[in-house]
Amino acid sequence: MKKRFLLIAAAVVMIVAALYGILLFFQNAPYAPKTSTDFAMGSVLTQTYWTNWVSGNVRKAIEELEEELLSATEAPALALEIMEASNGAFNPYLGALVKLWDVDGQKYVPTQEEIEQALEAKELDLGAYGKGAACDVALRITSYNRGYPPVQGAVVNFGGNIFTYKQKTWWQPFKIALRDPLGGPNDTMGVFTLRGTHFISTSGSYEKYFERDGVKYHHIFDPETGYPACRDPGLVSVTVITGAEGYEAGGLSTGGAIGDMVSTACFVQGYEASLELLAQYSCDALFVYENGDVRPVGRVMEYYEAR
Amino acid sequence: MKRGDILIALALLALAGLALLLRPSGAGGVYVNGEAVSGSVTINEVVIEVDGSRARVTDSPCRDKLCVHAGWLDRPGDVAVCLPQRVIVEIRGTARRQVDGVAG
Repeated sequence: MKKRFLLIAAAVVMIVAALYGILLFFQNAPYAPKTSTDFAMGSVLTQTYWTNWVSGNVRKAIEELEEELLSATEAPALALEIMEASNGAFNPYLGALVKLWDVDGQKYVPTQEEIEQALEAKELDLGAYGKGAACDVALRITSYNRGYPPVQGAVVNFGGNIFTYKQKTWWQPFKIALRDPLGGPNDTMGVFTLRGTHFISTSGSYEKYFERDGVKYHHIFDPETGYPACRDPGLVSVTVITGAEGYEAGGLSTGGAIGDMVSTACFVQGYEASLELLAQYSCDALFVYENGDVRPVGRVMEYYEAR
Repeated sequence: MKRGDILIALALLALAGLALLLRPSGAGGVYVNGEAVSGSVTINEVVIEVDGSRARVTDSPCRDKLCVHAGWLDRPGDVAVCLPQRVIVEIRGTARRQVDGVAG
C-alpha cells in the first residue's frame, strides 16, 4: 500500500514538472518578448527580444558607431559605391547643404549662390547612412550572443528604421506596421509580415519639413539642384526592404546601411529611375504618393498588406 | 486511495494555477521613459497629462512640438516622443500586441 502511494506520488511530481515545463515553454521563456526603449545617436531606440538573456549591448555599440561616424573624414566605401550606382542621387557630401537649409532648426530658404557654395564644399554628412548602419550593428551584436538560450528573435526599431532578426516563434511571423505618411504620427497604412532577418528603411518628406510662403521644404535634398528632391512629383515616401543574405553567408552585415542609402536615392530619383538600383541590390520597395497611390517594386506585395 | 486521488488532483490544480499566476504579465498603462505613471507628471519640463489609461503631452519647451501634436495616446503601442527633451510617453497594453514595430 505504501509503495503504491510512493509510486503515485512520484508520478504526480513528474506530471507536475512536465506540465510546468510545457507552461514555461509556451508562456514564458523564451517566448515572452522583452522590450526596452532608449535614446541613441539622436533617435529613439526600441529593442524587443524573444529570449531570456541578451549579452550584447546594442545601445553602446550604436554610440561607438556614432563616434566613429562623427570623426570620419572619408565616406565609407559602401557609401561611395551606392553614390556611383545611383548616379549621384545618394550623395554623402551634402553636409554644408544640410546645415545651410537647417530643416531641424533655423529653417532657412537659401539663395542660389549659397546653395552652389554649399554643394562645392563637399562636406561629409552620413545622415542617410548612420541609422541603417546602426541596424547592421544591431544584427552583429544580436547574432554574437552565444549564451543559452541564443536570441531566438528580435525587433530593433531605431528611429523608424526596423531590423527584424530570425523569428519570434516558429509559428508567428513578425508583423511590422508601416506608418502612413499622409496621416498622423500614430497612423499606419499597412503591415509587413516577415520571417527571418530583414531591414526596413523609409525616406520620406513627411517627417522633417517646414513651410515658407505656402511652399513645403523637406529634408531630403537633390544633389544636382541643392533643393529638396522633387523629380517624381507627388512622391511622399519610399520604403526599402532588404535581407541579410550576405551576412548569413559569412560576410559583413551591410543590408541596413544599403537599405538606408538606397531608400534615400530612390526618393531623390523617383520610381522609374530607381528600378535598376533596387534590382542591383536585391531590394524590395514601396513608393507612396500624395494621392494615396502605392507603387510596389520586387516581391513586396507577397508580404505587404494594406490596411 | 480515493481520498488521496482527490488530494493529488487538487494539488495538481493548485500548482497549475500557481504556474499561471507566476507567468510574467505585461502590465498595462501609461509609461514615461520606461516608468509607469498614474497621474499627470512633468519630466524634463515636458508636461504630460494622464487621464486613466490615456495620456497626452500638453506642453514642451522644444521647438517643433511633435510630442504635443501627437495628441491623445489611447491605444496600446501609441507613443509620443520628445527628442530634444529626451522624453518618451507610451501606452503599454495587456492586450496582445497587434504589431511588433512601426516602420517609417
